[in-house]
Amino acid sequence: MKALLALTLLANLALAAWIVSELKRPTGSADVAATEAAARMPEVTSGRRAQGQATVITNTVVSNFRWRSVEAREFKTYMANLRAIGCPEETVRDIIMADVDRVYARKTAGWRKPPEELQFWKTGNGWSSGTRFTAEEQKQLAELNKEKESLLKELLGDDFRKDIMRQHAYGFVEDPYLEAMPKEKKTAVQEIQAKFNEERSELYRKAKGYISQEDQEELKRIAGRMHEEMGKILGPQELFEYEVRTSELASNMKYNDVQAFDANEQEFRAIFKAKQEAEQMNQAGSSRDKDWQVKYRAAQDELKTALGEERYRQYERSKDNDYQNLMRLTDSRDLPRDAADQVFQLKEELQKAASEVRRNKEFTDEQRAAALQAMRIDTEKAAIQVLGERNFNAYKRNAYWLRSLTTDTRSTRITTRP
Amino acid sequence: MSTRAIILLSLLVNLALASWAYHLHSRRAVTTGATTTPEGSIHDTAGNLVPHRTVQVATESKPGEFSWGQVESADYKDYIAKLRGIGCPEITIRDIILADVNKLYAEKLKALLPNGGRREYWQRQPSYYSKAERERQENHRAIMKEKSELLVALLGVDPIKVKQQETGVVDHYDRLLSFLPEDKKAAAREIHERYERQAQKFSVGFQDDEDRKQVKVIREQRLAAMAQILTPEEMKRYDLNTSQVATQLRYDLDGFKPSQQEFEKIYELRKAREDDLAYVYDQEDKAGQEKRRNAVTEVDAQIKALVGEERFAEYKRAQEYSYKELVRTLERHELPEELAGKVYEVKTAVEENAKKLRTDTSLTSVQRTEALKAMRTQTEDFMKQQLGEKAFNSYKRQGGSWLNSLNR
Repeated sequence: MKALLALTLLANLALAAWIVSELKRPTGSADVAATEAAARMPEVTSGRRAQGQATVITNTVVSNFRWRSVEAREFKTYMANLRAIGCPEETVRDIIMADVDRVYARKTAGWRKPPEELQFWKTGNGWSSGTRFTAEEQKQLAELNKEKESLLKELLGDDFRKDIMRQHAYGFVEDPYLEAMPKEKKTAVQEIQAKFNEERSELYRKAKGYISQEDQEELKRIAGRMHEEMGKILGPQELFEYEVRTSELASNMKYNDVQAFDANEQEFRAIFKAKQEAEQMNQAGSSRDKDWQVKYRAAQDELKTALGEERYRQYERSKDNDYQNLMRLTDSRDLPRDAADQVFQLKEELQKAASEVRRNKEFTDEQRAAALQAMRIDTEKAAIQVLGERNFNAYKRNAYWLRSLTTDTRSTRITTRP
Repeated sequence: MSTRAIILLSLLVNLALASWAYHLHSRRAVTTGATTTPEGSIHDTAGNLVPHRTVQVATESKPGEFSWGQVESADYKDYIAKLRGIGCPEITIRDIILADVNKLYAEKLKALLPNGGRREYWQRQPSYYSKAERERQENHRAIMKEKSELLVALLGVDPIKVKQQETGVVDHYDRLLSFLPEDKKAAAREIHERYERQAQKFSVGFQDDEDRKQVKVIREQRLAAMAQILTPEEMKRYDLNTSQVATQLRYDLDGFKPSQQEFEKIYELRKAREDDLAYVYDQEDKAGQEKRRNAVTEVDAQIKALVGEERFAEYKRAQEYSYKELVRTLERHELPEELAGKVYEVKTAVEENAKKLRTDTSLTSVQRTEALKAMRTQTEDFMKQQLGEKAFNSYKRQGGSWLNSLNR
């Protein structure tokens, strides 16, 4: 009987001890008091978390665990410590990325002067809101960026850029072809790209928002040199595949050449190839002699074959300034793009008919002017049918092809009122 | 009390303690499951709870050991409180929360894009002019605003803005309104941006007369709303910083280097004739063109009387394309800006001489051609000497068409 009593008492003691210890553990519930940590924010002074520097004082002790126990002078130790407490890998990477970023931001803090106070009478670039670096600072900044990327790569692996992309909603999905590239080649290509991106940045910095014809030529030269260097790493087909996806030429095409064309994949590749060949021919330095013209025509014929007659005609049309204006009109006023095609066709028909009228020697000057004026009015009416009156009147001031048709100075403002 | 009774009592205590222990164990399992949503939860603009993105906890908690699961929570405020509770430095809390919120909102931004942001490499960029793209930009702006507000609610500051300040980048609107006292900035910015967004709907693409009228009405509404919160003095400064007249004047006067006083006076003259000086877009509106030309002449006369002959000549020069290009070339090639005046003086004199040569009846056609050709060569040589070969060639291509015209 006494033994049974002792046993139940011992069991009571053990249970009570377990309960007490459990009560001392943090529960994860919302009773953790907010601290005054913000006011006592520890400084990360050197980029390496100095042990014992985290002096956050909490009002309520919730656990024996303190954050300072995971902090370390070395990033790698810090990461290992975070992993050891079960910190999710994604959070470990987030913490390290931000920490490394801060370290390097501090290294350049002295150069980052806020822009001058806004003075309304100052003209030119004084209105820029960004930091302006000296050439020397820019150079050092590029070096530090390289160092930072190398550190991030060492700590987080090659994929650290994806972490940045995930946070900022750009570069959402990597192209499957680029994704599948062998790691070594990808790294080498990225390094070349980074090198030439720096050259481009330097040019843009000097240009201060104004890209001259000379600058555009220099950008093409940079692209040419990058193409050459990439060619040492990638085979011809690999290089084409890489450039058709990532080059500045391909990027520009999406804003210009195919903006009003809606190319499919094969068409885009064919246009890119033709444009790239033309640029390479221009950069070769040869004058536009007979040989150049033969090569150029061959490239255009190849493009025509690839696109087919009708699509080639549409591609040529998409480069026409009047057609691009019509596209802007239909896009901005929520009209079907087909309306642009129809008005452009009116333009072509009008120009053809006007050319015949101008050539017709049987007309007197007055008759010719009257005929052209009548044709213009008919075309404007037809365009109104397609676009609507208000949209046409908005477009008309940009329609040089209509204005130049007649020398008549009378206003031809069109209304459909009876 | 008999031993039997004591044993019975002890057994009852055993049972009570065991059930307490069981209860404690069960509760812990629930709380570390990160499902609590205590008071102070964050809601988005639609009133929905904004949950913290739960991440997979890598290890399981062992009794008596700390595990990340103990700080994880589905609620941001709870998560932050728990991180503070274990002494996590505030700056690290910011890093963790910012990264998390960034990813949460990156998904929302992606959802705005067709096909979830996946665009094949051959597909064109969405047209800037399209209604769909403008709507997407509007939604993008709203999401970014919501994100900033969430960050401020959680952390007391928007770390993105803090970082911008630390790196010397100043928000364009903050800068435009920097002359205002702190207590007026937010409200003024809200008004400015609200009306600017409204006006944008009538400004993208091709404007017709009706669109221009709408833009004008919205501008007047904006100024009226602004006048409700700004003093007359602040309104004047607001206008000088943001109005179309002032913006155009800053472009026109690049290279003129106006003093504050000069700028304000020229601004007042132009502002008073704003409607008459407005660009006439319709090339066939001859009456409108004429009216504008007259207004320019009249305002020019007023400016000349105000700044004097010499400064007025500089004012007109600053608005010439070839002079603007010269100033830009000098800046680009890091040459002294004083060269602009020197080179332009030569340009003016040479053009005057060329005009005389063209009308000089004492010369034969061949003599005239030779003289003009020699004049052009001399001028180009002078400019090369002043600017250097590279800068000269650059200028000649961009703004040097007058050189080609000399011997035509």
